[in-house]
Amino acid sequence: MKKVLCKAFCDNLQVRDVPAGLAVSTAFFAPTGDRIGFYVRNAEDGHYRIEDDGTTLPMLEASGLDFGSGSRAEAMEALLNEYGVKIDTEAREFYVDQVAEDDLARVAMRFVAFSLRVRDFRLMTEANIVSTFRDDVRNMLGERILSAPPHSSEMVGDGV
Amino acid sequence: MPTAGILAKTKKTVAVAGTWKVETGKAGKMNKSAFPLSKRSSVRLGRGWHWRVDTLTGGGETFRLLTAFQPDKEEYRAILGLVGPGELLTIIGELEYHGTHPGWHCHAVCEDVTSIVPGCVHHEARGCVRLPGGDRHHRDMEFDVTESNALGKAFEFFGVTGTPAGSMI
Repeated sequence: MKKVLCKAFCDNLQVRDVPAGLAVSTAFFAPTGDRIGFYVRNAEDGHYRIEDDGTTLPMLEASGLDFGSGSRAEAMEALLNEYGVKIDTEAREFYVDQVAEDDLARVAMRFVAFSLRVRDFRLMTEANIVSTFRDDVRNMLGERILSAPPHSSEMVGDGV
Repeated sequence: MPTAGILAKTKKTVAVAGTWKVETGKAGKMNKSAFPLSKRSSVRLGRGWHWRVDTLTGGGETFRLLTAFQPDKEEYRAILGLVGPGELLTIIGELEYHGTHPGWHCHAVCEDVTSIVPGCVHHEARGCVRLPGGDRHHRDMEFDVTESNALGKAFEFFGVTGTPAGSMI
């Protein structure tokens, strides 16, 4: 069993050279159907920097999410702190820097976990929330209508 | 109209040609007005990306096309949007290449364009497909993108056939 599990994780891990350093893809898929991946840059001081492709944050923002203030900003800050990830505001990418070679695999695994979780902010877009709110209201009204006695004027009385 | 028809069958021509920009400090910075999706949202890429926005016309409609690539990471994105009332942009489809998992592919919604929520990127939404699938065979695996051919790849995919007289694109 252990062998099968290890094979499932490792066989889908691909590492290739690109001008930036190493491009790594994992066994995990984003909701888009693309594999979750990251890049490893060799910093000048002998440490490494792990970063995304620079489109995760721009595309979340393009979905209508504002991380400038409010509850979404707080949630993003909490997630960044949990995984030790930072935002490069110039490159508009997520990254972890000052990674020692011995620590690279562990930090990379955490970065992948972060990359999966940060995409869940998509569930907090205005369109999704409006849709969820509409479903909740519809369900609530449906339950009240079904549970109300025949010819009840309760709904009108509530001003709904 | 189905998005598939708009993607390739509606022949488009360049109405306003953009120019290549790349962020180096303040120059070439992609600000909120570069590729707005609505009054509140836009696509803004950061340092290292080469990008341009072209305005297209075809089938009685106006489109905006963002073409961008990051040579260091071998990343490419071309995003086609249909301009609607109030300058709201409805994203029709995307052509992409990623350095982490090579292979040219697209994302598109297989529904009528009127069913797409405008003003946001939707390619993680229900009904949106990636072709070919992420674990399927990709025919073209080579990145090979420069400012000389990046726009041509987008034009070929999105059915842009004509350019204005005297244009340098």
